[in-house]
Amino acid sequence: MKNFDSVKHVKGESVFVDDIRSREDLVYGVVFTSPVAHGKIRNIDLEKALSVKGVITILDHRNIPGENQIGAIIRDEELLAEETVRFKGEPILLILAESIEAGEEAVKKINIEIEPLPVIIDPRKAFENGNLIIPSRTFSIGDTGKAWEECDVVVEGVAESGGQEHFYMETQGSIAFPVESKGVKILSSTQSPTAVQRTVSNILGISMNMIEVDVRQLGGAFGGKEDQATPWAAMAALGAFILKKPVKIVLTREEDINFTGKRHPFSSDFKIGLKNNGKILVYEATYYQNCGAFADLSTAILERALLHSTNSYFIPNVKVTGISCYTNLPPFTAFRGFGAPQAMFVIESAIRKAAKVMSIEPRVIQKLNLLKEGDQLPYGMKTENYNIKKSWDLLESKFRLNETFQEIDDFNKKNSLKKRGAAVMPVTFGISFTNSILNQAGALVHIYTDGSVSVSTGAVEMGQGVNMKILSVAASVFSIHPGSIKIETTNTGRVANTSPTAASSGADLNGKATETACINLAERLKKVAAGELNSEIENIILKDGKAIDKKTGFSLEWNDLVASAYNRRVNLSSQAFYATPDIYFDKKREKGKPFSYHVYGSALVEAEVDILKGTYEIVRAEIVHDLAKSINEVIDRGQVEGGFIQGLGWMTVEELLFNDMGFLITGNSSSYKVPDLKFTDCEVGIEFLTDKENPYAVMGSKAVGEPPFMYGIGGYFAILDGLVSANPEAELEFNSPLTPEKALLFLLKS
Amino acid sequence: MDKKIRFILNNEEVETNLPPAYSTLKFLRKNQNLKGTKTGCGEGECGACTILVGNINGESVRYRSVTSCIMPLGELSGKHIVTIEGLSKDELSPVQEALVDEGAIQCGFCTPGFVMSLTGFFLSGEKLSYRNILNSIDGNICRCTGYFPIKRAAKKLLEIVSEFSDSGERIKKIVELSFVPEYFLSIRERLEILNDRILSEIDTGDEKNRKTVFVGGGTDLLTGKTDLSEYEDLRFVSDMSGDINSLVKNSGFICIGAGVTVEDIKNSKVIREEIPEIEHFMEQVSSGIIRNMATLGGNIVNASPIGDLSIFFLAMDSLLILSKKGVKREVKLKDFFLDYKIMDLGEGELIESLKFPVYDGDMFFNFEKVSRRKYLDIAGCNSAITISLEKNKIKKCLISAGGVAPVPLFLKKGSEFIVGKEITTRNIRELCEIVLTEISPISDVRGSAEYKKELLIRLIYSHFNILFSDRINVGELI
Repeated sequence: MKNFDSVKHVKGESVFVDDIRSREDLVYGVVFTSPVAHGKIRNIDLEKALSVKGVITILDHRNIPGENQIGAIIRDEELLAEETVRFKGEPILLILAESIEAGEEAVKKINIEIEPLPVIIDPRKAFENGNLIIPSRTFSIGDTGKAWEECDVVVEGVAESGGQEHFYMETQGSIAFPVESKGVKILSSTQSPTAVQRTVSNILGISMNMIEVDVRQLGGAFGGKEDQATPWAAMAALGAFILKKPVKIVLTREEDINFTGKRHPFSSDFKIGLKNNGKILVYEATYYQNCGAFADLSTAILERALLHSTNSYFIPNVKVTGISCYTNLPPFTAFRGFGAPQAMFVIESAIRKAAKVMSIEPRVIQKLNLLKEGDQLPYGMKTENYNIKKSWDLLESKFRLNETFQEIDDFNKKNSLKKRGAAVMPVTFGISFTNSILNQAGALVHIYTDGSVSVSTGAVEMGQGVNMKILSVAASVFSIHPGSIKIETTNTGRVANTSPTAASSGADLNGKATETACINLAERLKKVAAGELNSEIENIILKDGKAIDKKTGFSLEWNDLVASAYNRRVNLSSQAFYATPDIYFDKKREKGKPFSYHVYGSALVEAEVDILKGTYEIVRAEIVHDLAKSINEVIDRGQVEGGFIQGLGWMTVEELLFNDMGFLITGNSSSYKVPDLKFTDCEVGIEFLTDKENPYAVMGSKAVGEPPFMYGIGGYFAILDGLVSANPEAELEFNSPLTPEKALLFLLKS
Repeated sequence: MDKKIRFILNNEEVETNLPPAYSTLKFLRKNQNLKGTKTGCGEGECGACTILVGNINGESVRYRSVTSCIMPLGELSGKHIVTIEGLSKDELSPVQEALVDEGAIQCGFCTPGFVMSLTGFFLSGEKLSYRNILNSIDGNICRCTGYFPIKRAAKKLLEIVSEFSDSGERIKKIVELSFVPEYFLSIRERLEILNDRILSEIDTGDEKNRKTVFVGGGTDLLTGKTDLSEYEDLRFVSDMSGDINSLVKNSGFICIGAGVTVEDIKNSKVIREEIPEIEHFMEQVSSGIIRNMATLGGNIVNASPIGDLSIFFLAMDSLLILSKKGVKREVKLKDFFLDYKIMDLGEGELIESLKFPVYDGDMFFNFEKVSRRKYLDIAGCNSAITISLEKNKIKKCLISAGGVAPVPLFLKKGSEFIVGKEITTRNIRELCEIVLTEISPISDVRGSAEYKKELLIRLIYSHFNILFSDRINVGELI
């Protein structure tokens, strides 16, 4: 089934925040931010800025009627900085003006004196200084101390992974309207309407019921609008609250890149011990998570990193430690994978280093240690309905995995200036918010008297197709044409206390709530039909737009059924709720069942390296991915392909370069490069595993948003494999992104 | 009072008093309330704001896809501007339908841009090939799909439309196939009437007191700028007549007007006869939607040390023809760049054209560029070379290098050194040692100084590998 959202997009009719037509008295908000990465504000001179024509007023923290605090997990972040600034780009002032141009002009005319403080950008240095968000956390299983003695080979090393800018095509933005009785209505490009509502309530000092947050759709988010859409919405709300006029804030691309957080860079130590046959006995790692200036979601992200430390491998003795370090960089935040990609990069690096020392192929170690059904993970949960081995085997049988490596050897023997390399990347990813509380969702379904259906949930559409999936759920329960169902905006007035649309769980949670609401309504309608058809409710089914009496074959058209229900004064609205059952996590023991289930799959990635220039290309990719019973295979394919390329971008060309002063020097779209159309020339071969229904998600499906991102890690090791063919003596380095610069410098290493 | 800018926007004639340097995107979204054209980056790097610009071309209208964010409004005078609203009807066009069918749309924010670029491709008259259709959308960034379904949609479109006849007939055919609405058929005539009127109104008012800024494609004019006050009097090269917009071969030279776009250089038959790989080389310069705007003159006068066209033509013995009020002079391109962003160009002087000699006999030419992202990126380092041989010895050699000095650099010493020598690995190694004395790269966002040094050497190796792999094994050099 085609995604109905596509049609409005392709005609240019979709309305994003910046497209909303507003009132004549709309005011524009432009944000003045810290020009330095760390310092104490000594003086701010606004005289010149206030005299710019069109500037209405300039707000600072003293104008905030409530509490100047936006930290979601840890309360460490001010909306507008008061005394100290901790990263370059931290908001200090909000300029309200009649035009964006006037606001931008005012920004240039603000004089600020800041007394500089030492800038730290390296998480290890922050750790040495004790700048931690929370005490370090350690997950362990088995007895690592003893296990080292049993190993034939022990290898240690360091792995660095860089951050990643979300580069959602639609930048952050929000419009706030004052409404009567001192309330505000906020239209925001956010993944978390309730977080916006809660934070605005805190900032303005008014109760949550005075604030309505409405979200139509997002032009991409990828985690970047989970927590970091909130400040812009809060500032717009503050402006609207004070001026009693609508206020719009939409960041420019450059502002967005410089003011908002990105994927966390990780600096990690690893140590791995194996038997001579490649069996991994023990693994230890320490992650120094570069959190930037504020906690944001860092601690939750670190938790997911710790939960994915062993990726798809069974290792009996594991000890992994995670340390969340404050630095003077933008507050790093959620990004597709949420820490898991960083952790997987470390174990994959460890395996490569061990393989090199042992002179065996990395894939021998990988395959030998793959998790099996019922194996226990370091956090205590056992795999269930799980078959990563099958995905690997399919790479071998369907995509000629072993032959590929042979062909690459042959190619490399024949070619001196071009080398090929390949890597396999298995991925095992846990589904559920690791904070169990968040695994809840609500839905509100109305059937109108003409038979048309309206569905509201807590899910936010951002391109991942959640609206289409939810629509399919409703259409399936009612067995009516999807065209008569409308998915409404996500609105805190209709569905309250929403969890963020994140953790790949949007369709799982909200789809389930929708299913329950629709089943409630279907039961009521069946009862009506039984009455109309002089039958029993057990005999009535809803099928193809009709209520049918199975026994007699008599039927009632959907529209007539609905009309008759209305006439009988039957409730045609249903609100329903879903909470994922049987998940828990004990943070004292760091054990539990944090995930409802796992998604798994394996990718084979092949690269070609130009040995003269250090350039490379991904020439082939094959993916076997577990979808269970897909609700919409076109949408799921899009997630797999798009996630893979985004992961490749993170591993190769997307480079966040910060200088020692904490300035992002790749801070605009002409220096920060995401994959373009010509980035890969190849098709991706995809084989879906669809034979088993997943008992733990809606309609037997599985979540799909994040897991494919990590197939991109295979790209790093494929390129590295090619580079090593050209320079086999060089010591391996694990430092992503593997830009052409790093590639050439590796080739030049002696 | 400045004169009004008049053009046809979709199916309506519009006029505006806004300054000529005003961003077309802002005009569309703010003044015209056409919100289908999206703001993605504001510097021509993402294509979310792609529109079509059509101008009279013989008996037909020639359409190009361009990024409206950096397109100055003044450039639109007398032209047909098409936005997504001007393409969309109740029924989806084949382009729209292919994108929907292939699942090529996720968040939808980049989608109107892709629709415009793809539709522009079919309007442009370019040969229908997979390579060309991909080139038409290579400046449109999509962060969701990884491009696979978009490429599948492009492929599918080529199956629907296999062939077009020329010029006037093409627009008729495109209307018949529902790629664009019927009103496109009347645009040629309407533009003619409009242009006649614009000509009759030509402003002869006081020009003396204003500083004139000549604008090529304008791709650098509005990048990241909001203050338009310094641009009171813009003169658009595309409005000028004469050599400045022509590309011809005569008396042993190829002359390229400063206003010729990179896309037109890429597709030039005249240049292809001399440099068969021209298309391949020019594909490495930015993206289709920028190549449609960016001009030769603009790229040179920008004087970026890494400017692709400067580097390209430095290795071709090129001359610049400069003019001021009809007075012309010639300057060698290698002498034109004096220091960082300082050129041998007087006040009010304009680059009119560039010419380079066409040689008899075998000339070997190559262009190399390495950037963080292979396409649609600014080079870390780029280089071009021209070589001719006589009896196994190098008779002539011109090498240029970008990103390694404050100016686009002609490698004089290196080029002179290698003349008269045979192509051997030893001579190439020595050549590179000399080159290292000529360059002074700095560490910046494009790469470290150390990297740029090494990279330039590798690009020189690569030149010889590509041109003379039958004579030497470059592998011995590394």
